[in-house]
Amino acid sequence: MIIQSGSMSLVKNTKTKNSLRGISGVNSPGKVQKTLDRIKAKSGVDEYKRAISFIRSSPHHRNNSISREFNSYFPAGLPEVVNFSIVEVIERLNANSEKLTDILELQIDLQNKIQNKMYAPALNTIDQLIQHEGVSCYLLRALIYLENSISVISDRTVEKTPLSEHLERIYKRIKLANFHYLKNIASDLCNDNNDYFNTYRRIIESFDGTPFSHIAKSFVSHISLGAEVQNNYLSSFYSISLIDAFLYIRNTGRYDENFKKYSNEISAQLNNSYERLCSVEMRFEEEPNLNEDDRQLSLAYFRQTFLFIESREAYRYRTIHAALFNPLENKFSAISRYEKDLISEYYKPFSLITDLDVKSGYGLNVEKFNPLLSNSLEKSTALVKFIGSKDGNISKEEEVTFIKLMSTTRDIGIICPTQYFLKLRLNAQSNDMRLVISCLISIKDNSHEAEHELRRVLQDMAVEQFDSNIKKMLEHLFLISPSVTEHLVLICNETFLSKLFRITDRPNKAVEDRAEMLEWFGKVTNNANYIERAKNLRIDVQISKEKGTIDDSRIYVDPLKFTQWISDNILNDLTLFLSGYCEKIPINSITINWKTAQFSPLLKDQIATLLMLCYQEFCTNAIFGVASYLGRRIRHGTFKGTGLKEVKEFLIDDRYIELLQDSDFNQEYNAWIQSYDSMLEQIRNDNLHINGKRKEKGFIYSTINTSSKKFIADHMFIDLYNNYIDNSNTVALPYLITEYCWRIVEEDLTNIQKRLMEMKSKHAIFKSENQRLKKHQSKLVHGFCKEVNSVTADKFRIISSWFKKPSSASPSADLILLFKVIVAENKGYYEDYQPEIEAPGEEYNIKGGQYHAIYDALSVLVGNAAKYGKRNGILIFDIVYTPQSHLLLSIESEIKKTHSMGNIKREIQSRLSGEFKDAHVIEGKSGIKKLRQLEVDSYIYNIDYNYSTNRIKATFRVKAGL
Amino acid sequence: MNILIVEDDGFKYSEIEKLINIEAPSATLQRAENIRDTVMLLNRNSDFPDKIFLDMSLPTHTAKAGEGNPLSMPNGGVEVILELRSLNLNYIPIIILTQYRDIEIEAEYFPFPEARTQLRTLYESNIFTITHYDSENSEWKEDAKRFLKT
Repeated sequence: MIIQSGSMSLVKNTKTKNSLRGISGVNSPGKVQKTLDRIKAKSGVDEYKRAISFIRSSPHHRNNSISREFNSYFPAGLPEVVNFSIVEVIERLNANSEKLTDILELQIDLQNKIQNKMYAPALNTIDQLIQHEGVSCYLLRALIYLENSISVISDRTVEKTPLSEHLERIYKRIKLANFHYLKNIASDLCNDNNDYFNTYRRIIESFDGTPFSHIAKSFVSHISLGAEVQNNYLSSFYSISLIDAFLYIRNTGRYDENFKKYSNEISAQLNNSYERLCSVEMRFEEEPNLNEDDRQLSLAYFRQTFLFIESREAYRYRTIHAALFNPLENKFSAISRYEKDLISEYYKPFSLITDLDVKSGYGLNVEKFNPLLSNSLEKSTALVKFIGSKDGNISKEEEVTFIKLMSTTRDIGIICPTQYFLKLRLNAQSNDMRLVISCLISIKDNSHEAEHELRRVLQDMAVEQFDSNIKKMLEHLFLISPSVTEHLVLICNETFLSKLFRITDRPNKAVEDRAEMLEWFGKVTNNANYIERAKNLRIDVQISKEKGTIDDSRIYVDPLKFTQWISDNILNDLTLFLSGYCEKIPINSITINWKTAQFSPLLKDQIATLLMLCYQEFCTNAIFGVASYLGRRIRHGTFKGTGLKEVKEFLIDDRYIELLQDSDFNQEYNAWIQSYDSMLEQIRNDNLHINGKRKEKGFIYSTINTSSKKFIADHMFIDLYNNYIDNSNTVALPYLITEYCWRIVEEDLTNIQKRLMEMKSKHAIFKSENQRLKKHQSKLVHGFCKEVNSVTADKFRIISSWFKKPSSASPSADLILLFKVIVAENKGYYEDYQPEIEAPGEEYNIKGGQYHAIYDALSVLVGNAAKYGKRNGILIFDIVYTPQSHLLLSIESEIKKTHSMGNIKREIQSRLSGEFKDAHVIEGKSGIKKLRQLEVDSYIYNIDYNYSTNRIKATFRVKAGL
Repeated sequence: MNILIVEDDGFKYSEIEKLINIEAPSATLQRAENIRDTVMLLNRNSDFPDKIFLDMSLPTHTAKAGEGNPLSMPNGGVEVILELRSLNLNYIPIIILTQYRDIEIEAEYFPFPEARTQLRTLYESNIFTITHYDSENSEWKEDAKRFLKT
């Protein structure tokens, strides 16, 4: 059926004609779609198609906002794919070839200007394109490329430039909001801050068959095979604009004979313009400031190739690498002959795995692969190609190279099919290889089973070769592949180490091993963050030991495990995003849409997404989160036991034997118990859960689902931001996030209490309806009911009290407790250190993250007192709160009788005034240089020493509530 | 017959022990209270159990003063099942006695019959049955008796 457009005469049904006349001039997509749906329901699909064709081309429906052949703004799109055949589409192309050629010419002009970095003129050409109704998916791609280029040259300043203002005007004019989904997907695909495969998966997982989802899929999978897929792509592009349909036909004709054949039926003028468009090269220059490591990681060119897929070079590069750089398990069988030929040609210079293991420079190989000058993407696809060509069977020598290549390739765990990993592991001839492959499998497969296997291999190796010492094993691996080692350091968190049952014989060993591992890795990679985290971990453990055990009578989230989880999983990205987003000025308001933030490429939304992930983990983690607590309560049966036990005991209570011997009353009470029991059962099975697909009646929501939660979440963002710019570090952030997660969950906790009370009043009050007994034994019946109801009220009060934030939930510590922890540590170092402690100051509670600086400073002072002072002398710790909102902290200690105060004074003064820049590296936590470093870093202020005959008093200030 | 009871709850253990003493008085009982103890016991390479009574929610380690809190793993039983498979001991019949109403397998919750199928298929384990343990109910006892008889 060939459908011509533009003329009402082609719409057959009078009712359809009238309906279409009814929406003439209407620009509400909702109304237009409703009318179209009615036509489809009443007159069938063919008439529906004719109606769509009509409104796409009729001048009276220019602003229908759903689908046009030519657009001056982005259409809202059809809700489903309406199939138009290639013949139908070509007929419309040829009917409009002149206008299409004009648009193509403008596109060529635009592409040339972009490639010559003439951004302002390029924006002017876009204005012309809009005037010519050339708004299309192509234009969206060009705009994203321009937006990225403009943001690079404006050096990410937040101030608006004439270019960014022009771009903003264009976005408004073309109603970008209608293309919100495609814009976000396309931006994320080329944004280096986003994981490429996360966006890839998002496209596949959110695929819903709409034209937009087909188009999004075409961004990552531009080679479409099979008539049905090709027709869906074509119809989707056609529904957006004629120019997009034309580009799709021509691009597909590059590899598909059928499309090639049909391309010849398109007007020669149009085809000529297309050829010229393809000739515009997509030049690529990376940011000049990238260092070698960044370059190794750079995927930038590949990620942007889909934006200029018409460019021959970009198309070829994308076709070769996209065929291999994807998470598809069946990639080798899915590769077409066409792709195979391009890949073979491209990789001709490479045949041995050792070709890849060369100390090489960085390069981009668009024409042919050159292992000597290549980038991590090209090496990765080459390695996967090699493994595929060997069908997963490699020699012992090749295994060694394979392991080494883990440091110069990327995402192998995702792009190499599991079947090869399984073969490689089965045939592995060394423990190193077995471990590397298990790591790679666990990247793709996050199942319990894969994790167990990784732990098994890791333990086998540690036990057999390294005396069960994980750190020693990592030291060995680091020499072979720093990247594999880094990966292991990341996954070997405290929870993972706890589950190395053959090595970790007690819970604290996991924490000790973790701290040791972080410290070592920090030293070998010269990364102070790891060292800092090791130190914090040790302090937190010490403090949690001093604090004693958890308060199990209330809902609980283990602060140590949660803050460690944040440090392990969130902090790196959070630091990256904050450093990109933060200006130097504190903020006091922020606008975030917490529901859609995860789909937005904006940095503030990405920060918000990370914060949401934290809250989700806070609620759902089965080991330390709210879910774990709920699980334990349910498991131990405390909930039902608490609620039911005493209520049942009334049945055997001597005082009520007579009453319960009355069969009617007995039956009535038993029936009530049954209903009461069912209510408790329902709360336990359905409500005391984290709300989700499987537990739709769960009381706790792991999302920001209400306005008051949003209010608190906004404040979390503001506090975090201000803390970051105030301190220029992220030490306090995990603790702040923990605190805010409690504030957010408190709304649900209050609701639980309320709902429990509602349920109590509905189902937990026993009232006898037995008139006979009420008449003759009214006192006894009344007393019974009163007592039962008092018991249930009491039980529900207890159950309700579980859903309150526990006092020990926040990671915080009293200053005197911190002082005692440090003294206890020093007693461990110096056996005869038994100072006479005095701590006259008042208790002062400091939040987690704040206490690390104070811990460092006090460690230096107490450490010096222990090392050089009188081992059984006086040690006074004092805290004074000053009117300037500072805390003045002092440590006073006695010197040894054999020491001269004059010498000590000179020594201290010399150290205070000396060079201290290497304090972190050399002194650890024991020296005065470190104290000075803390002062210079503004963690502490006004270090001062006072000397009397035999005592030294050191003081320093910290901000109260810093 | 060697029977291993993996159970951290003392009361529940004594109930199981009582039942076994009646139904299979000649059986030799071994108890492991946490996952580590179970893993170490299975790795000893001798005296493998003939049957296992397995709790699902288990702590990782024994709690000892000053040694930190063990992790509480709601699906710790799965850890034991996986260890059995990696040691090629997955032929040993298991009865799961849990106070939960559903079992978490690979981050999804399944009711008992479905969980049994999942555990058998995914981990090739020899799960005889999964039963709800309730001290006030004798249903679990009937399942345990059947398990001991087979």
